[in-house]
Amino acid sequence: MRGDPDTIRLTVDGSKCDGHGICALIIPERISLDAWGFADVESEPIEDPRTLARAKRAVNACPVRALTLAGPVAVRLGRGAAALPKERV
Amino acid sequence: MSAVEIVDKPVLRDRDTSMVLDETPLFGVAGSPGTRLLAGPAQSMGAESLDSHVRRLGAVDTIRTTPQALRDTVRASGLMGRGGAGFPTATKFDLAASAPGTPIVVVNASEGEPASAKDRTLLELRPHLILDGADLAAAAVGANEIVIYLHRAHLRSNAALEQALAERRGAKMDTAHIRLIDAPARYVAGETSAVVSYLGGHGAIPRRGAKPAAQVGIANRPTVVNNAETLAHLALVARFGASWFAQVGTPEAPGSTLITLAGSVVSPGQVVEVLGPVTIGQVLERVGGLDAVPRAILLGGYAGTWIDGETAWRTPLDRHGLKAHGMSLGCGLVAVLHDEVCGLAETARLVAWLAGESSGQCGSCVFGLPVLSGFIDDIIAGRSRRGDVRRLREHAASVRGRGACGHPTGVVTLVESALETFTPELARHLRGEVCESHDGLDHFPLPLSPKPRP
Ligand SMILES: Cc1cc2nc3c(=O)[nH]c(=O)nc-3n(C[C@H](O)[C@H](O)[C@H](O)COP(=O)(O)O)c2cc1C
Ligand code: SF4
Ligand code: SF4
Repeated sequence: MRGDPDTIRLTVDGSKCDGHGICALIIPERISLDAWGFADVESEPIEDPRTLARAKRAVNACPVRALTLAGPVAVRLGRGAAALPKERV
Repeated sequence: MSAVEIVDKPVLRDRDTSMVLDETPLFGVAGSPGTRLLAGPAQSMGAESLDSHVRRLGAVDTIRTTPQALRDTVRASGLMGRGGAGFPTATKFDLAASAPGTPIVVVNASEGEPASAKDRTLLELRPHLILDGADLAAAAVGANEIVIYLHRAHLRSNAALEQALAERRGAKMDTAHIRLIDAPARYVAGETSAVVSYLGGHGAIPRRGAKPAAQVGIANRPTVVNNAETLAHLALVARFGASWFAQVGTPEAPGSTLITLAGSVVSPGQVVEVLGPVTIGQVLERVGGLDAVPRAILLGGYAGTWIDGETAWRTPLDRHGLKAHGMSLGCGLVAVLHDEVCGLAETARLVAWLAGESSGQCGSCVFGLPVLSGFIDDIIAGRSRRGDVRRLREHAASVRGRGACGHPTGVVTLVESALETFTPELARHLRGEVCESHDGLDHFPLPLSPKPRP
């Protein structure tokens, strides 16, 4: 519900994250792992296109799909799935 | 906001009823002049009957308005949720009204906050106000179903509710279909997404959906979850209008607000309606029966903010002003620490209990809160040194904002405000001192003994 719909933010659903840790290898500038290996995501708006590209890779790489890119972007999921719904609210 | 000038007018005191004999009362209990939600019969009279309610306010089904006009009135009133987060009620209504599917309205009367009593008291004394509000919310969004989410254990308020529903059926007033559902006795069970999950046939655990419950809720239908007090305000806003509503309160946080006094006061669980700029000290003195400034108070709920007594005494009870100072009125709890109880020991009890109330889904909450609890237990056992406090602070900061709901952040707020408020106590414990037994003293109430940490 938060945020300006024109900004793109990376968020994690803490109830889904299983602490696989792959995401933090892909986008270390936005995701660190806490003491138990769960993703701690810096959810400031993403402006840099390279950061955005890495964020998309991280979303696709998460085995439990705990990561979301919210904003005016469509992210193609891995494994042949359809585009994520746009999350604007 | 701290600059609010409190005009201390002479007010006669009678702890139970009709205590405010002032022309512009700043607060009052049930039956006090000037009150809004609590206007009507005195507290000792119990539930207000439908007859008396209709004589005083008129029947809800005689209010002539359209759904759009009603939503516009709510928008203009600035009504914000009284469940804790202060979310604009009109925004929720608009989302639900425009989303696909027939909406459901949920009256959140579960009041999982252990020391809070405002929702059950309002239900017990003014059931028809809450039921009117539920009917109006249903009308505003086009819902055909109302769920009242409550606790079986709240016997008095449930009896009042059932009596009130029977009166309305007798008067052929019932509009939408109403169901009463018993909420699981868990702290997080009252959080909106947990309510929706439970009413959808799943566990009462918070969920992070792509869309808010107001758009996609129970069985994918738009679901308006509102706190019971919020809906009672709606019942008055619909009758008297937006500008009447905003005649009390502040421009940023209009309307009156219910608070619960708890802990070391003459009558824990006493509910007070705040009508104007009043300090915490004034309410504690006049209704709480305090004759001295306490060591500290806990504001907003167990996952709330500790404030040292001197500061609290002159702090205005104003949702917006408190927020500007990094405090939250939350569910309106004002709990006074017993003078002989160490605030850190009380915090340790609450944190242990809150850690056990995690819904067990998010790593940062499941693992992070017990560690927080362990740090505080070590402090009060005299086992900690400065470095441990630094590690505690770092750990607390790493838990803030994590998890799928606000639970861990609330617990961090409690812990951080305790470290800030109880500095002399902390220094004593860091020298290895241990508190004397607090057995037999007035602790804050907890529904169960703290669960063992995993
Ligand atoms: C852990 C947690 C527990 C909550 N428990 C309750 C509760 O027992 N009753 C309640 O009305 N709101 C509770 N809330 C707040 C609700 O999520 C929600 O804000 C409220 O019911 C919505 O109504 P309002 O907009 O009228 O405030 C809780 C929130 C959290 C994070
Ligand atoms: S890859 Fe997914 S499951 Fe693994 S740590 Fe990152 S968000 Fe969590
Ligand atoms: S943060 Fe804690 S209480 Fe909230 S959903 Fe996650 S595990 Fe449950």
